[in-house]
Amino acid sequence: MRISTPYFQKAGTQAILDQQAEISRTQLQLSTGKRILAPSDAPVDAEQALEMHQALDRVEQYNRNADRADLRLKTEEGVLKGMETQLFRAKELAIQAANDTYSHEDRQAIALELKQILNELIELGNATDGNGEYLFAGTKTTTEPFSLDEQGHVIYQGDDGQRFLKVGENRTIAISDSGFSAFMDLRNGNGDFTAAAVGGNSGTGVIDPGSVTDYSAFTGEDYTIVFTQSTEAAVDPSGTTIGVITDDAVAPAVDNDLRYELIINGHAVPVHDEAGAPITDMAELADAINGEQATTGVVAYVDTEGNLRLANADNSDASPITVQERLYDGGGVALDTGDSMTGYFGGVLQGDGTATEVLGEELVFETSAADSYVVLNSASQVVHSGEYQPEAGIQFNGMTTNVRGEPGAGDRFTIQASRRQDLFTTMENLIAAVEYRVADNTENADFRNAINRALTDLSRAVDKVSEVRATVGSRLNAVESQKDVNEYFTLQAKEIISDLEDLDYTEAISRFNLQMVGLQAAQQAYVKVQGLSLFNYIS
Amino acid sequence: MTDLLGIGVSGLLAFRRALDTTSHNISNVNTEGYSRQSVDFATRTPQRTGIGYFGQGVQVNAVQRQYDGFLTEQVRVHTALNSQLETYHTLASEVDNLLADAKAGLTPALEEFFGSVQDVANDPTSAAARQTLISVGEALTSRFNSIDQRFADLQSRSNRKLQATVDEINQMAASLAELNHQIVRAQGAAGGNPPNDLLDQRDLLLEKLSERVSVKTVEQGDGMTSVFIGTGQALVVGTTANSLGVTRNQYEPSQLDVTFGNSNTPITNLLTGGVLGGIADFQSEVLQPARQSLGRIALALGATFNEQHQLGMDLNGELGEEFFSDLTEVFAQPSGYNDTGTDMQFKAVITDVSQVTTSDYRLDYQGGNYSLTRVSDNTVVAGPMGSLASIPPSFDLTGILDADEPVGTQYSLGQFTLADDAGNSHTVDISFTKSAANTWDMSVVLDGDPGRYSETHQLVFNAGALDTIDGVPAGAGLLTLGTFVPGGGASDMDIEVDLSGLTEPSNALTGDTSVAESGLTNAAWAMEADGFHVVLDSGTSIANGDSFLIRPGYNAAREITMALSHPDKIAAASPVIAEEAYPPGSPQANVGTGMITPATLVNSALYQNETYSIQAVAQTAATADGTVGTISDADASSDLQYQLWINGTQVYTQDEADPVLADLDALAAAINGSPTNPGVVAYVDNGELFITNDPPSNNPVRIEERLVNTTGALNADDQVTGYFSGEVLNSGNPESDLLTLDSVTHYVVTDDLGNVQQGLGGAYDSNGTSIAFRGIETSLKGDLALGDAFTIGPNDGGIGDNRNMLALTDLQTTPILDNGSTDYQSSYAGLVAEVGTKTHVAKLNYDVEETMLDQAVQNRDAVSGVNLDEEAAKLMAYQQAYMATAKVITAADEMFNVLLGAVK
Repeated sequence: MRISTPYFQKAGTQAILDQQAEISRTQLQLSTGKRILAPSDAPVDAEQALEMHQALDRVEQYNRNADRADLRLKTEEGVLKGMETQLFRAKELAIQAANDTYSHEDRQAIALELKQILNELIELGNATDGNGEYLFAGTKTTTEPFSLDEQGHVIYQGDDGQRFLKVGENRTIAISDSGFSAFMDLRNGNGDFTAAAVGGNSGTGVIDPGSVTDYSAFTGEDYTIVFTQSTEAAVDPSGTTIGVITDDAVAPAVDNDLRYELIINGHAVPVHDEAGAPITDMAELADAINGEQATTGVVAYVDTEGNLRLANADNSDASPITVQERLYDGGGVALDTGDSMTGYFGGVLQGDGTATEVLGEELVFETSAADSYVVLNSASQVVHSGEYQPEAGIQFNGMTTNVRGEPGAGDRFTIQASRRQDLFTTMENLIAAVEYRVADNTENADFRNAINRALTDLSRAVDKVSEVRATVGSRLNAVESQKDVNEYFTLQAKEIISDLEDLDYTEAISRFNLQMVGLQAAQQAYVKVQGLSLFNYIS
Repeated sequence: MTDLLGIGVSGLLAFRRALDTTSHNISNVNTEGYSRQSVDFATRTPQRTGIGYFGQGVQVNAVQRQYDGFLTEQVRVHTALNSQLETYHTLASEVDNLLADAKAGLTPALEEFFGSVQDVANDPTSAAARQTLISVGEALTSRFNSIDQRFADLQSRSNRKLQATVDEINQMAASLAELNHQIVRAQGAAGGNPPNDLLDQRDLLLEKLSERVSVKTVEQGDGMTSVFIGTGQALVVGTTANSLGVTRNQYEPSQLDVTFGNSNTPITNLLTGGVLGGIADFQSEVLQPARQSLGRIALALGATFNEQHQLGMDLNGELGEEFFSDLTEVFAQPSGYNDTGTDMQFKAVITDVSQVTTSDYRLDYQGGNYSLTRVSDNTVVAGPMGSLASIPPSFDLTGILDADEPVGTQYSLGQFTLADDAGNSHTVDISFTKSAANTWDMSVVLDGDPGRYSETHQLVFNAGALDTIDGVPAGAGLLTLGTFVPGGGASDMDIEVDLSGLTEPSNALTGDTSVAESGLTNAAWAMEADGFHVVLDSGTSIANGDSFLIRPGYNAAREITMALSHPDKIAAASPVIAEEAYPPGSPQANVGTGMITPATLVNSALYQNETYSIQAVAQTAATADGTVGTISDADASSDLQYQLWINGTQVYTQDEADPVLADLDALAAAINGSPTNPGVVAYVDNGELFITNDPPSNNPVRIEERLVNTTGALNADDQVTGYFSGEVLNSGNPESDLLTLDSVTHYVVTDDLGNVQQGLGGAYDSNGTSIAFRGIETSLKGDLALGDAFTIGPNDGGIGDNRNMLALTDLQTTPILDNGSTDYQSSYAGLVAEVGTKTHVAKLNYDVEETMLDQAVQNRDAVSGVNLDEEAAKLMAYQQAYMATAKVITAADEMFNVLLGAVK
C-alpha cells in the first residue's frame, strides 16, 4: 500500500502525541494519588466512592453526636448519683427515726435534716447541663422543672418529653429523662399495693407493707380490713329453734304482741315481733343491727364462714360494745311464764309472769382485744375474713400482709392498689411522719404505720432513681458500643474508598516507565524513519 | 529528419510536463486537500505509410488527479462523526468534572447542611447552631444555584458555538456555490479537462463542512456538486447556496435551534454529525438531563424539607414556615408558535415529588381537547380532556334559574360530593354568595343538614374524604347546591360559589354534570400525571394546535433559595405533646398504668392548635331509638314510672305518659342535664353512650334502672325495657337492674370545652391503640382505669424538643425520589455516574472514531497523497527520459550535420 508522505509524518507525530497524553495522565495520577481523575474514568466506581464518602461524613457526624450524648448522659448520671446518695441518707434517717428510743426532739432534728435532703433533691432535680438547659424538664428545657406551689408542695412544670440524638445510621439514643418519668411517675406502697392504717384507729395495730405472693389471684382492687369481735350469734336456717317466739296461750290468746329486740350499747335495735318469722339468715340479723348503726355506733358483718361480727363503726371509739337481748310485751302487760324464745345471741328468754320484759345476759366485747377481721371490697362486701392471729398474717386475693400490735375492734386498715406518688410527696410524707408527736401507744401505732408507709414509699423512690440511673448507664454503654460500630464502619468505608479511588502506585509507576520507554522509542523511530528519503541519494 | 526532431521534441515537451507535474506534486506535498497529479502519456497519431504506421512520438493527453470519490466520501463521513464525538466529549467532560468536584459539587454542601440539621437536633435551643443552619442552608441553595449557573454557562457557550458554526457553514456553502461556478467555467475553458486544483479545493471545503455537520453530496453531470444536510435540506445546489439560521427554542428561549432557509422551523434534531450534531446531542443527552436531575433534587429537597418543617414548632411556639422557597408551582412555557390570540396560561403544581421524573412534558391542545405528553418516551400520560380546572375553581350560576319559575318551586341544581380526588388533607374555606339583586331564597344543603347553611363554610378534608364541615364531623360529604325556593318577585339568579380556598390543586368537587350544561363547569383536577397536576392559571382563549412545555424540576436548582432567615424560626420541636391530663399526686391523676406515646403532627392542614383530651371510658350497652323505654301498663291507671339511678341517685324519671327518649343524645342530655346528677358525664360517640365520673375518678359507675308503680304494687303485665340493660323489667322479673361499669373499653376525644369530638373515639386495646385525629397521631398502650385522661395539645414551652429536627435529619437518608427508592444524595451520585458514563462512552466512541477516520484518511491518501520517494523516483525517471529524448534531438542534429557535410 502506498503511504503518502504527509500521512506518514502525521501518523508518526500522532503516535508521539498519544504517548505524551498517556504519560501526562499517569503523571497526574501519580501526583494526586488518585486512580479516578474524573467520574468518567470509572463511572460505577466513582458513584460508589461518592456514596461511601457521604456515608463516611454522616458517620463522622454521628460520632460528634455520640460525644455530645456521652457528655449529656454523664452529666445526668452524676446528678442521679447525687440523688441516690441523698435518698440513701434519707432512708437511713427514717430507720433511725423509727427507733423507739428516739425522743420527739431527736426526731425533730432528723426531720430537719430530711427537709435539707428534700431541698437538695429539688436542687438536683433542677440541675442544668453545660448550656444552662434543665436536665429534667422534658422538652421545656428553659423552664425550671421543680418548684413549690403556694402550699409548699413540689410541683413539676416540665413535660414528659425526651430528647433523642442520632448516633448511628439506624440508632437514636435518648439523652434525657423527663422529671415526670424519673421522679413523678412512681408507684407508692410495695409497688403493687399500699397498706395503711385509717386515721383514728383505737388500737395499736401496725400493718406491714405486705407483698403480692400470687399475681394470678391479685386483683389490683382496693380493700378495707376491719378488725371485729367475734360473737356466738347464731340463726336456725329451719326457723324452728332459734328466734321462735312462743306466746303462752293465756287469754287473750295469741295476741301477737311479744317483741324481740337487741340492746346494743344501750340503744334498742328492734329485730322482729311475734308475728314475724324467725330470722333464718345471718345477713338479715346483721341488716337489723346495721339499721340502727346511727344510734348504736356498731356495725355488724357476716364473715365468710357465716359468723356475725361486731365492730365500732367509728374506729376511734375504743369503748367496749355491749349487747343484750330483750323480749317484751308490746302491750305493756306482764309476760306469762310460758312466753319464751331462744335469742340469736344465745340467751334463753322466759317470762316470769310478773315482769313486762325479760333481759338476756349483757355481753361485753372489749375493743382492745379484736380477735377477728373481715376484708371488705369497695362495694362493702366481705371478701375474706379470719381469726386474728398476729403471727399468721393476713392473706387474701394473692396478697400477704400482717398487722402487729393490738388492733381494736373497728380499727381499719386499707389495702389500695399502688397509686402514683412522686418522690417529693414521698419525702414530704416521710417528714410529716417523723415530725408526728407520739404521746401514747395508740399514737405510737399511728407513727409506726405512717413511718412504715413512708419507708416503703421511699424504697420505691430509691429503686426508681437507681433504675433511671441504670438506664442512663446502659445508654452510655450503647453510645460507647455505637461509637465502636461507627469506628469500624469508618475503617471499612475508608478501605473501600481507598480501593475505589486510590492509585496502585506499583502498577502506576511501572506503567509510567513503560510509557516513557514507549515515547522514547516512538521519538527515535520518527527521527530515524524521517531521515530516510530518496532525495538524500539524488546528487 | 524532421520526424526524428519532431518525435524528440514531442518527448521533450511531454517529459517536461511530467517533470512539471512531479515538481507540482513535490511542492504541494504539504498542501491540505491536495491530490497528487500525474500526466497521461500517449503516442501521437502515427504516420501512415505504404509500409505501415510510423510512430510520431509522445504527447500528454491530460494531467490526472489521483482521486477516489468513495474514499473521499468516507473521509467526510468519518470527519463528521469524529467531530461530533469530539464536540460532545469535550462538553460532556466539563459537566463530568464539574459534578464530581470535591469542593464545587453538591455532595459536600448537602453533607454540611444535614450535619447542621443534626447539630440543631443535638442542641435545639442553641442560637449558634440555629444560625449556622441558616448560613449553611444558604450555602446549600447557592451551591445549587452555582452548579445550575455553570450549566447555564455551558448552555450559552454551546449557543455561541452553535451560532459560530452556523455562520461558518453559511460561508462555506457560499464558497462551495462559487467554486461550483468556477469549476464549470474552468472546465469549459479547458475544453472539458478537469480543473484539478479547484476540485481539490472543493473536496477540502466539503471536508471542512463535514467537521461542522454531516453532508451528502451529489455530483451533477456538469462538474458541479450539490450538498445536502439533515434529511435532505439542500445547502448548495449548483451555484446557489442556502443558508442556515439560528432561532430561540420555541419553549426555552435560553436554548437555540437551527433553522433552514427562510423557514422558522427548527431542524436541530434533524441534523447529525459534526459540531452541530455534537452540540445537539450534548444538550439533549447530557446538559438538559443533568439540569433536570439536579433541579429535581432541589425540588424534592425543598418540598420534603418544607413539608416536614411545617409540621414543627419554632422557638416562638408557632408552626414552622417554609424553610426553602416553594418550588412546587411550575409555569407551563407557551410555545413561540402558539396563536397570537391565545392568552391561557397553565401551570403545573407538584404534589408528589417522589413521582416526578426528569422528563419534560408537553401540553397540547388539539381538536378541542387537552392532552399531556411525556417527552422522554413520547407517551400521552393524561387526557385528552375537554377542559382543565382553574385556580380558583368557581361555579358561575348566573342565569341558570328562570325567572318564570313559579313561586314555591324547589329547584335543584344538583348534588355534589365533596371530596379530594388526590386524597390530600387540608382545610378549605368555601363561600356562597348571591347577587343583591335577586330575591330568591337560596338554600345550600351541606351534608343533608339545611340548618348548616351559611355564606361561608370551612371544610376539612382528611385523606381525600370530607372530615368536618365547620368543625362538625361530616357524614357522606354531600353538598346539595340548590333547592332554591323563589320567594316571589323572581328575577334571574346570580350566584357564585367561590372555591378560592381550594388553593391546593388537587381538590375536587365531583358530581352531577347535568348542571354543566347550565354554565356550571365541573371542575375536576384530572390532568394529572407523574406527581403533578396541570391547571389553568389565567386566560380564556386558546387555539387549536397550541402547545406548552412543562419542565417539573428544570428550574428548581436555579430558583431554590432560603425562605427562612431568622434562626428562631427553625422549627425543631414538634408542636403537639401528649401528656397525662393531671399530674401524679393530684386527686384526678391517672390510676392506670397506660402510657401515651409522644404525639406528632402529621398534617398541618388539619391541625387546629387546640387542646384535646382523651378519656378512658366504659362502654354501656345503652340503646334509644324511640321504641326502647316504652312503658306498658296492664291497667289504665298511668301510674307506672321508669327510674334511672346512677351511683345511688335518681337522675331521670320517665312517667308512663311521658314520651320515650328519641335517641342516645337525648339520653345523654337527660343524664347530663339532670339536676340530681351525682357527678357523671354521659358522652355519645360512634353511636354508643359512655358514662364517666366528673371530676374523673376510678370509682365504678353504677347504673340502676327501676320500674315502679307510684301508687302500689306492680301488676303482672306491667313492664318496660330499660335503656341500659335492654332487660324487660316487670313484676315477674326483677323490677330493677343494676349495671356496674368498671373496666375501660373505649376512649373518647373531647375538646378543651369538654365537648366530645364525635367519631374520633374508638375501642381501646391495651396492647396498643393508634389514635389519629385532626392531623395528630399518637398511640395509647397499657392498662387504663376508668376516668384516666390524657391531653394532647400545643407543646407550649417545649423549646428543648428536637423531635421535628430528628425527623428532618431522617430526610437525609429517606428514599424519596423515583417512587421512594432514592434519597437526595444517591440521586446526586446517580447523576454523577450517569454523566460519567456518558462521558466515558463518548470517549470510547471518540477513540474508535478517531481510528476509523485515521484509516479513512490513510486509505484516501494511499490514492491521493504525495509520496516524496515516489516523486523522487519519478523525477529521476522523467529526467532520464528527458535526457534520452534530448539525445534524440542530438542524434537528429548530428544526422542533419552529416547530411549538410555530405552536401558540402
